[in-house]
Amino acid sequence: VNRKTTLIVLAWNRWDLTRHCLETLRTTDLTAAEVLVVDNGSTDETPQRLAELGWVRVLTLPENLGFVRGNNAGIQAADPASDVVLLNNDLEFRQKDWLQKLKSCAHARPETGVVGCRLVLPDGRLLHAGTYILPDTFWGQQIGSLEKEIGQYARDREVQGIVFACAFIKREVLRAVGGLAEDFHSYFEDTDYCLQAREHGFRTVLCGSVTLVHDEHGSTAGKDGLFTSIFSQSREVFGQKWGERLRDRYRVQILWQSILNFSTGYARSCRELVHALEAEDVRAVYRYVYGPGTPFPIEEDPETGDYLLNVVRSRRRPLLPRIGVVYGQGDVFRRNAGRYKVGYTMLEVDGFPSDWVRQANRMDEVWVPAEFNREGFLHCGLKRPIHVMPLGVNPDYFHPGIRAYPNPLGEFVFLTNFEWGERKEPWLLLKAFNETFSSREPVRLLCKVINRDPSVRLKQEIRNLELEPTGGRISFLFNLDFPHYQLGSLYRSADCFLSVGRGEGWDMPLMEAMACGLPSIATDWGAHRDFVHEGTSYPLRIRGTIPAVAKCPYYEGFAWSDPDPEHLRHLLRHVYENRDEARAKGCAAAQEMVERWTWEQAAKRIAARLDAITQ
Amino acid sequence: VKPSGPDALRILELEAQVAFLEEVLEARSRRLRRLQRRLCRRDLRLLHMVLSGKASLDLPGWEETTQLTPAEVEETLERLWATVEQERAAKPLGQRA
Repeated sequence: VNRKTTLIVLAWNRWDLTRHCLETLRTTDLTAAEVLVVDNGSTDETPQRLAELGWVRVLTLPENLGFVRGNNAGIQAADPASDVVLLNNDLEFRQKDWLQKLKSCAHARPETGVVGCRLVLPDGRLLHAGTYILPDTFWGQQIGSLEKEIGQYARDREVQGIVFACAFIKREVLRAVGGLAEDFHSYFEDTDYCLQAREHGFRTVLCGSVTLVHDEHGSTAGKDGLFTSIFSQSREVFGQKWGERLRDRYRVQILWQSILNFSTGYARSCRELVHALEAEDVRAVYRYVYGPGTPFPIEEDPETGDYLLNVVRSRRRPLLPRIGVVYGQGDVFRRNAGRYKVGYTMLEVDGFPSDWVRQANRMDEVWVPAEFNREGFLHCGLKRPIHVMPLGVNPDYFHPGIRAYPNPLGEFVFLTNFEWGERKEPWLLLKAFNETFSSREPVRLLCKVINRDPSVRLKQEIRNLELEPTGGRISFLFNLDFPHYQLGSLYRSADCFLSVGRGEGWDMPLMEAMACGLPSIATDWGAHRDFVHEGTSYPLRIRGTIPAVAKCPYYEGFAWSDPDPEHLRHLLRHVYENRDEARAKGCAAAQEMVERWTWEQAAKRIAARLDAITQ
Repeated sequence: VKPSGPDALRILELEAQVAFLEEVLEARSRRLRRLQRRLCRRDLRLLHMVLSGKASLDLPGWEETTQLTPAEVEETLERLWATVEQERAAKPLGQRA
C-alpha cells in the first residue's frame, strides 16, 4: 500500500514523556509517514523543545482542548489523502516495523477500518489486547489486562474496541465517520468511534504482531480527582448514546445454570462458554446450579476475578426464563428453571446413570460435547432429542507461539496433566515410561498431578510402584494451581503430551496441548476421539473395555477402556526417536484446533441452536 | 611353562588383587545379608539408590497435601530445571551405570 500515513502525537506538558516517545519513535521504520505533534497548550518546556526538532511537524494549540478535540485538530491538519495513526505521548516504541505491520493489517481487508495493537506496561505485563463494554455497566474493559506477558493474543482478530493510545484509522473511515465525537472530553471516545465505524460497515481489528509499551495515564497520572471527574462525565454521555443499541444487539437471552468459580473441568469450560456466548450476542444470566441440597453442597464464591463473569452472575434473573440451560452433571438437571429446558452434560464411561437418564428425559432436549456421549445416552434409554455441542479451546492463549521455558539441558520432555485417580490410570503411565527409558537417556516425564482425596497418600502410592531408579526419569509438579491462562507456557515447555487414561468426557488439557502444537499420545477411546486421530496425534490402542471400578459413584455398572501397555511403550519410544514426525503431527494438531475447535465455534453452534429453539 | 622375571612378579600382583577383591566382596555380601534381615524391600531399594548415587523420585519440597498452592508457570519451571541441572551436573550422562 502506497498511501501516506500521518502519525499524530498528542502532547500536553510532560516533555520527558514526549521526548522519550519521539526518540524511540524515530528509531523505527517511518517510511511514507509524517509525524505531526499536536501541542495541546503545554505550559512547560514542550513548545520550546518541539521547536528545536527538525524532523516533526508541530501544530500548536492555544490551550488544552482535551484528548478528543486535540486529536481532531491533528486529524484536520493531516494530509487529507493520508491514513492517520493517533498516538499518546506516553508510548515507547521498541518494535522497528510496528507501523508497517499496522498498515498491512489495516489494508489486508477492505472492511477493516480501525486497527489497534497490543500494549504492555513498562514492567512487561500485558495491558491491552482490545476492549469490550457491557450495556449492564458501561464500564469498558481491556482484554488481557495485567496478565503476565506470554505471547497471548498474537493473531489479528476482530474486537469490539481498542484504546486510542495507538489507533490506525483508514482514510475511508475518517470520510464516513469524521473525527472523534466531541461530546466526550477524554475517555470513551475510542469505544464510541469503533462502534460508529461498525455502524458504517468497518471492523475494528487488534493487530497481534505489534506490541508497544504504554505508560498508562501519563497525562492524568497522580490526578485521581481529575481522572474520576472526566471519566464519570464521559461514561454518562456514552450510556445515553449507546445504551439502547448495545442492549438491542442480543439475539437471545438464556438462564445459564452451572458452576464457574471452582477448579474443575465444568467450571473452566463454563467460564469460556459464557465469554464466547456473550461475543455471539447471547445474553446469559448465570446462576450456580450446585450448593446445599445437591451432590456438591458447597456454596460458590461470588467474586470470580473476571469482570464479565461478575456482571453475568449479577444480572437480574427473569421470573420465567424462556430457555434454561443446565451445564453440569445430569443429576442436577432437575434444577433447570427455564420454560424450555436444556441439559448439557458429559461422562467418561460408556453410559449414563439411570438417575441422569430419568432427569434428562424431563428436559426438552439434551446437549453433549461428543458423539461418544450421545451414543452412551441413547444406549441408556434417552428419549429426548440430543444434540452434539462440542467444547473448544482458546487459541489466543493456546497456540504454538506462546512463551516456553524449556529444559536447558535439552532433555526430551513428555508432559502429562491430570488429577490422581483410577480413571487416569497413572500407574500404567509411570510404569511404562520408567520401563521404556533408561536414566542415562536425555528424556524426562513431567507429571503435573493434583490430588484432593485425603485418603490417598500419593508418595506412598508412587513408591509402591517400585519404579526402577535406572529407568526413565520422572519429575512431579504436585498440587500446584497455575493460572489457567499460563498453562500454554507449561505445554510449550514440553515436547509431547500424554493423555493415556481409561476414559474422557472431553479432555480440555489434551485439546489445549494440541492447540499449542504438541504431538500427543492419547487413548483411542472416549469423547476426545472426535478431535484425536492419526493425522494429529498418536492414538493409543486399547485391549478392550473393562468394568469401570472407581470411587466415583456415577461409573457403577459401566465400562471404560483398558489401554495397551505394550503399545504405550512402543509409542513413547517411537515419538522419542522420530521427533520430526512428531513435530509435524503437533503442527497439524495446532492448525486443526484453530480451524475447527475454538470456543468461538462452539458458541456459534450453541447460538444457532438457541435461534432455532426461539423461532 | 612357568613364567619368570617381571611376568612372574606381575602375576603375583594380580593374584593378590583378586584375593583382596574377593575378600571385599565376601564382606559386602555378609553385610548385605545382615541388612536384608533387618530392612524391608523398599528401604533396601532406597539404600541402594543412595549408595549408588542415583536420584530418588522425591521432589524437594513436595509435601503430602490435598490443598492446591497458587503458582506461576515460569518460576516453577525455572526452579524445576535448576534442580535437574544440579542433578545432572553431579552425575553427568554416561557416568551412570
